[in-house]
Amino acid sequence: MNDRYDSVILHFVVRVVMIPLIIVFGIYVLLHGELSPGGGFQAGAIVAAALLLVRLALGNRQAALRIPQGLLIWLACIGLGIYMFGGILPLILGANFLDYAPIPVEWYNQFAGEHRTPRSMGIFIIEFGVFFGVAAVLVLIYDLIAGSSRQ
Amino acid sequence: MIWWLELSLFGLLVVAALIALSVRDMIAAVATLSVYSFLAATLLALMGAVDVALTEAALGAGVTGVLLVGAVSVVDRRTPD
Repeated sequence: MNDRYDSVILHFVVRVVMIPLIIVFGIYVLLHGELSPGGGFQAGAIVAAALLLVRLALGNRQAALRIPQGLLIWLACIGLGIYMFGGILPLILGANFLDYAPIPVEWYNQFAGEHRTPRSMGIFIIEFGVFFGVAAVLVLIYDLIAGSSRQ
Repeated sequence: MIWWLELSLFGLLVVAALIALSVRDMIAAVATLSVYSFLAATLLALMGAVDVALTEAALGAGVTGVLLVGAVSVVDRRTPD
């Protein structure tokens, strides 16, 4: 599974069709997570599936080098940090831990032209954290397994 | 109207699980397990749990199959039992 399989059709379909579609769908699931089915966990799994598809089709030795393992560990820790930030920010603003009510959203509503409530803004922050954590850890698990395979 | 669709999907689900348990080749077992996960995701979406179905389709049918193929490449491909 570390070797590259040379096929024009496989490389064209994976690079041009599959990968942009899967990543755009993952970002859609992430950004509409608090209103429709989906969320940070599902979006992270979908984007991680796209990255694993690159590794399977284009060869693990070439594709895995694009994202080094240290960066993946940092991304997972940054995801946990975003989650902690979403929890501690209401604590600084005078409410309980993970109580999203006092989060200021007026600047964001003016900037993006939306009508977002403070609670959906808090869930939005936390979903970003879960997204980075899940995507980075799933890709990291695959890299560690593929690095220890015999073939 | 939709009960026969759910019933046939459930029958295919049981068949896929039995094949995944009884086949000797590990790669074939992983592929059949992905089929099982996709059928389970379809059943969950039919029953209205779209969130769970999305998770099952992304994790069960996508990422878990890839990780199990990686695990099979570490151990022997054919199993005696």
